[in-house]
Amino acid sequence: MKAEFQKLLSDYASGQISADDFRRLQDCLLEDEQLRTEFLEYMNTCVFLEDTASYSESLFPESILQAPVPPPRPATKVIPFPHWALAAAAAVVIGLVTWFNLPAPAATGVPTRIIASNNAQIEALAQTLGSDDTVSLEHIELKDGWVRLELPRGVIFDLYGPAKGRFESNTRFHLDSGRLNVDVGPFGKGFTVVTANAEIVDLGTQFGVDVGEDFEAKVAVFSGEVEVHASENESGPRLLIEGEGVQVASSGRESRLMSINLPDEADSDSPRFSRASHFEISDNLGVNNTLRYYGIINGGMREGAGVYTTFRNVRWKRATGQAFPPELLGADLIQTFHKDRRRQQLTINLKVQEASAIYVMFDERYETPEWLGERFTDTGQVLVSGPWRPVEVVHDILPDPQGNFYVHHKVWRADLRGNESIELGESINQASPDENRAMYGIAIRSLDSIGDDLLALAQD
Amino acid sequence: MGIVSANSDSSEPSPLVSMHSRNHDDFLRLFTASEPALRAYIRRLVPTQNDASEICQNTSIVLWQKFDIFLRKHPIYDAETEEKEELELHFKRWAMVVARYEVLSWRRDKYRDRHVFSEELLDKLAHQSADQFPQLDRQMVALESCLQKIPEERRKLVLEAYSARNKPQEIAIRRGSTLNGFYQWLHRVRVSLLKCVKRTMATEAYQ
Repeated sequence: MKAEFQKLLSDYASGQISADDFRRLQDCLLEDEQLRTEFLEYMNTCVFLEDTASYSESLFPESILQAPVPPPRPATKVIPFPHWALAAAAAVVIGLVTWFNLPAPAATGVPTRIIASNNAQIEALAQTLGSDDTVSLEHIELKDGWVRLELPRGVIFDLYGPAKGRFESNTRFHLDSGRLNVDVGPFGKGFTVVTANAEIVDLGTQFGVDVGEDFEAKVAVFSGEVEVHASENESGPRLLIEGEGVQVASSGRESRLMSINLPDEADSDSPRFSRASHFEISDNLGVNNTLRYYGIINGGMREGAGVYTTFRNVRWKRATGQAFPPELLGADLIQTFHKDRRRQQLTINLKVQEASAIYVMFDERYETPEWLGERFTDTGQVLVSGPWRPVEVVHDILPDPQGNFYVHHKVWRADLRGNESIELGESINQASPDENRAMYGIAIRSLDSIGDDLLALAQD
Repeated sequence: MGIVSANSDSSEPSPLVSMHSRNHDDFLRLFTASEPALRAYIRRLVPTQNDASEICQNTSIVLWQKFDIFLRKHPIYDAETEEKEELELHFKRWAMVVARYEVLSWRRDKYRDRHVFSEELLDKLAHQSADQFPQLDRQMVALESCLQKIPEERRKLVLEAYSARNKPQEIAIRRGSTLNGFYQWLHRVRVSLLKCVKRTMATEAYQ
């Protein structure tokens, strides 16, 4: 293989390839059959190594572990990271007033196309700029509402007010405060968001950054990968993948981002992302164990809602011949991690601010664990999760007539008073570790709202 | 129990349940035998392991949903061992056709997200990949043998790099290397493995 082609292969396989090199690789492969053969053979080694590593990991889970990382700090705040599509709809629906400070175009500014914002803002801009014009921006200050911009290289940039920041170059934005979602697209790799204590370098992805009044930066990855360079992390940058997050304190110290609010895919008219949650969730896993965040969808429990943060095909559904349990409809959904089904010594802590019902949807095939039987009551209601592909979790389940596999979950409930907390335990049965049950799901709702909703349902 | 079927309430298994149960066993047998090759086929067309897993999952669902059609087209289904390999081969080829469509469908959704090949190139790679498919099992066996030839400490490091739990940056730091240096080292390992595989397969052919 020629040296140049080898470099392209190496960069592609490691996910480091630039947009120009990717085009070069694609041109080479389109033109030359021999290079395609070499590419396929090379990728075979990657497939083999991925499979072997995954197999070794399952056989010897402790033998493949990561380098030492700093100890975690407890993380309890729940922050919203709205998805841009929902945010767009929400901004229009709630009609927030936006004040958008556009400085005079400067020679050093970044050419930016305004794609959308809320109605008031678009009208204001149209008088001087037009809603699809390209302007040169250095600073942005957004008092309220939401705006979407397209930057050079096709980077899509959503800023949520109140927010303030400045462009340092075409590929660097300094966020002083507020929330920002970035989708770098295929050619924006390397786009960097700078905060007071960290730099977040995009490696081809969608991610969100939230800088609060205390200058703490929260970073969550929705797809792809980012590198977080915290000012006080001496062990170097931290790589985050989809479903992972960290928060960097004003001191520059990192800790795990425990949860984020996600948009409700099924209800795009709802501005729920802006509503604060009435509970806090945490667990006993630190950054050494995981960097994943719990996904919270306020009011999102319904037919078709996602069960897990990263296993997106598996959804909550009603059992055949039954209705979706009415008291669960519209409850706040907490997406757990599918991989935690086999995690030992797991403790999830939930603390509610107001009197609330906690629901645990537990795989009905196996024995009820002590922690569940002691604190929770079986409601007699059932939900199913699926469709699952034919994997170990469904090894003893027959497919339905459409060929899909579903796991039945019993719905358990515990009622808490305001400011009370409860601990949920592990999904795995220590006495029968070979049982491959599905990880349980969680939902919460305020006790005040249950009566109202059931009444409304009965009246319908 | 969480068994879902058309007649899960009846006390005696109906013919439908029996048929489902039998089909399910056969499907799992064929799918399990094909999955490594199918995953490899898909993985070579998409940029990341996660993309491949998502497509493989969707493919498996489609395969099961259309398994009845596959059975109707293969009357040798009831035949015993001598046709078993042939049946598996037919299933693999069918699975690859389904996977190819799933990759194209995935591409339409994700083309903007990251580096994804054009439809024209995917088509060429898919055809070429399917042509090489009969050699794939032999290549994998050769790779296994070649991997064992790497000194244990380095072998562990390679597998560490490919473990989903680990971050290349952290491994690189622990190894006292830069991220770029570490990626270059991994590339050299892959190329060495590839050369070893070619030598091994050439020797086998000669013998």
